[in-house]
Amino acid sequence: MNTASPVLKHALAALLLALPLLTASCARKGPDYRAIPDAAAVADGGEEVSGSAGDADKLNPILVGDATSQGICDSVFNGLTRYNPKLQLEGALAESWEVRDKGLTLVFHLRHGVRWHDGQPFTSADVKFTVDSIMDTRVASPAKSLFDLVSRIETPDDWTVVARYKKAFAPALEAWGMDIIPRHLLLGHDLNTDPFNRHPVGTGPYVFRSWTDKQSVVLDANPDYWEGKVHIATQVLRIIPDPSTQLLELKAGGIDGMTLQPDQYLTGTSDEAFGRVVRKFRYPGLHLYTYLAFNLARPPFDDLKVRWALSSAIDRTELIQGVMQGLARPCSGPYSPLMQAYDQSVQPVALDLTKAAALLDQAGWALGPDGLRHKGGRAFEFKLITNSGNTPRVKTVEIMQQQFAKLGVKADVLTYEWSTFVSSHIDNHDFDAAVLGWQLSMDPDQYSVFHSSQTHAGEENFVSLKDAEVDRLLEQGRTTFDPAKRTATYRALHRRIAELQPYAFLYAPDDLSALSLKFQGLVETDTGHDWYSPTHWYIPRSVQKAP
Amino acid sequence: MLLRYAARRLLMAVPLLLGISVLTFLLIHLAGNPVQQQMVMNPKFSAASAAALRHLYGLDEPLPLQYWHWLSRMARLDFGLSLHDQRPVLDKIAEALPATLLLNGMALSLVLAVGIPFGVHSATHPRTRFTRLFGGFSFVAYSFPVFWLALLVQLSMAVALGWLPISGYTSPGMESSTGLSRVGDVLWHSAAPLLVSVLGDWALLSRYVRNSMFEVLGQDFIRTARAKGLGERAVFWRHALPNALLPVITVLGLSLPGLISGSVIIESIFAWPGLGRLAWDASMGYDGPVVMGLVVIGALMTILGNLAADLAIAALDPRIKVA
Repeated sequence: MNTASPVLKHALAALLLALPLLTASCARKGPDYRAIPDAAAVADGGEEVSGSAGDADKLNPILVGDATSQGICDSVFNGLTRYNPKLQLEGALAESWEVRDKGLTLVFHLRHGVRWHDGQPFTSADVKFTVDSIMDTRVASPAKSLFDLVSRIETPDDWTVVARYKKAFAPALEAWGMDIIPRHLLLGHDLNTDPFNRHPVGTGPYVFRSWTDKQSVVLDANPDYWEGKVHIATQVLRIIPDPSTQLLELKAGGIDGMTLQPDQYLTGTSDEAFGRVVRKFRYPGLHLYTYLAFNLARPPFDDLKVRWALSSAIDRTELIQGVMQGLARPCSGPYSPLMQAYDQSVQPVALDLTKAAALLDQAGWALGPDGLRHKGGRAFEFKLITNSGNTPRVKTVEIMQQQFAKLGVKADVLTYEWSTFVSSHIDNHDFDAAVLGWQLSMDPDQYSVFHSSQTHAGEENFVSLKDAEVDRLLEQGRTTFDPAKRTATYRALHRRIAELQPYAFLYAPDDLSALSLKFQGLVETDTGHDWYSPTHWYIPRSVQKAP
Repeated sequence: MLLRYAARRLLMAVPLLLGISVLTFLLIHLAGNPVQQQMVMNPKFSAASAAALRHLYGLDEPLPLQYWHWLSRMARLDFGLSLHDQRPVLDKIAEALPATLLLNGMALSLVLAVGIPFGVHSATHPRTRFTRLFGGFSFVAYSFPVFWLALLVQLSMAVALGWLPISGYTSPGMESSTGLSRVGDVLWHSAAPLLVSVLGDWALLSRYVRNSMFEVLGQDFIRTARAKGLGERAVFWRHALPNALLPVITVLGLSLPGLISGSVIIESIFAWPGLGRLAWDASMGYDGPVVMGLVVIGALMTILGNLAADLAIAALDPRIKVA
């Protein structure tokens, strides 16, 4: 081609043309929210626009299975209970509750005078209807396991709900945080397909206005909210799938808040222009942790010394740096370090190759001339698996592979597509060691994950941990309602699990987000998080209009 | 003759469609299902309640039976319900169609309007500065990855100059409005994604046209036409151009399915609520019925587009006979 060099020249020209535009983008001056004159004056009105990567699925809380829909439902609906900024349960639609018959009966006293957004009174019949609907086999609710120990729900009067249980079940108090749906609008309807799922009516701080598919969801402040005045007049959720576009919108004022990716937190959000309008947040994660699961039913991982040796060979600092760019924290047990149940006296397993080598020696795995450890003529080699689509996990196994090699242990890394990974390997217990993550709820119950009765195919104790002490603590925790005693029980569980190392606990990713500085009235929690509260947050009048 | 040919091609399309649907069905079901995606690795959801959901969605039946159910519904033109929001698949497709049709329709028209004249011009005036400059520019634009080009357009047109919105289909608050102001608003929002798709595509078409024009201009009949004393205008408009544009018809036929298939990348970056996004969300969410619906419609459009192009060429080009 005779135009090769002109093409190159034109390419350069195009780039040069683009560069001034790029620099111009940084120079354009936006508003400055660092010093708002009337910041202290609580004002009503204004609009909060947040960005969301995914669209909602359906806005019926008993059917919800995705985070976007759940977030919207939390603004439109209320449950009987909820967590307060101290991460303790408090009453929402229930003013108070009593635990009777050693936990076999829960009695909720409902708040009087609460109205649905259409003006109808909220009563105990709505609560019964909600749970009955969840348990109805025709209703596609993923929440059935939260209520399957309920034998009967009675409503002696409009403001009392009596829930009878087949077995005492302390985590139920959290489950009663399930958002309540209105009986008068849904009785006799097919809940799976009812138009209500796109036009929800609740009791919450915000009233649903509109949902435009793949574009936005708009909510208006509920003028009649039972908890008090809702200050910010409108909440808009804009669906913007691409994280870089979200960031551009945030900088330009098109949205007021978003979740940040680790690379976004570290770069492109530190300049002065950004700092004038937006504040970045980084909190220890509350919602999930990543771990290396050992198959306890399979040698050599049935040997406690081997598990401790491998866990001690992991450099968690390097892992967090390499995988999460430093934006995560090591954890020592099956809880977020922020939770009450997390026993702070248990330290994350420290990197100690000498100790790891000594443990393997004791377990009979001697270092051979080939640099690998051997026992009974067999080299220490195992399959280290994870799911292929998850980049942090794939990096995690690759880094650990190197770290185990230093110990004379050969880990063969294999990655599988999620479905195959779960159904062929995890569900069937067909693995040596696997990297996975658990989502966490605030309630510390871990019965399904660590109780010896949960080791059948498809159940969640897929590492086959069978320990009498763990079982006892899990059972005790489920029947203890007193918060202090529960915490003590689960801290004991944390210590016992850490001793047994069925998992090598790795890290909990930090929660990263950005929020416009125009919002005031943020409530700081004991854990350092800024708690979203519709009755506290406001936008000062001088910055309510978009720039 | 032509009718019989068309009927035979359509008949041949049936096994092809069946094959495509079986393959897609297998792929999407082997990949996973939404129940697994939502409920696995959340200790709050028990294995039993996951099983209950699978049963409710019919996902616990053997695969061949599930496929049979799908096929027999399709025979009645029932595309089924989305596994995510239990809404009819056809409704979801119909909702996303206008945005994609608008963007891709405008893009295709612009590409044709710019690409054909430019291709012809660069064949007739190959060595001018204009041809070299824009030829080079179009190729640079074509070789850029779309996501990068999109970012450049966003940074320059939207962030730096403030002429265009960064993303979205309408301005906030205009979602449900109607009338002229809305039309204007949507068009304004479409400018940036339109620019990106046109910048990427016109180089390809102009190159097609240029090569085809070159070839035609070197043919004997052009020399004959000139030799018999026809003016350059007549040679160009009556003899060269119609012949040079024949390959464009094939390209057009092939871009017919592209009209409705939507670009996942452009629609995601510009938060454009079209079919590309629907396809992406459905695949990522293992929403079998929606994926199947989109694939069947896409395959049908491809087959029809091809057929239409072949028939058009057969009608226009006397050298080609259908049999």
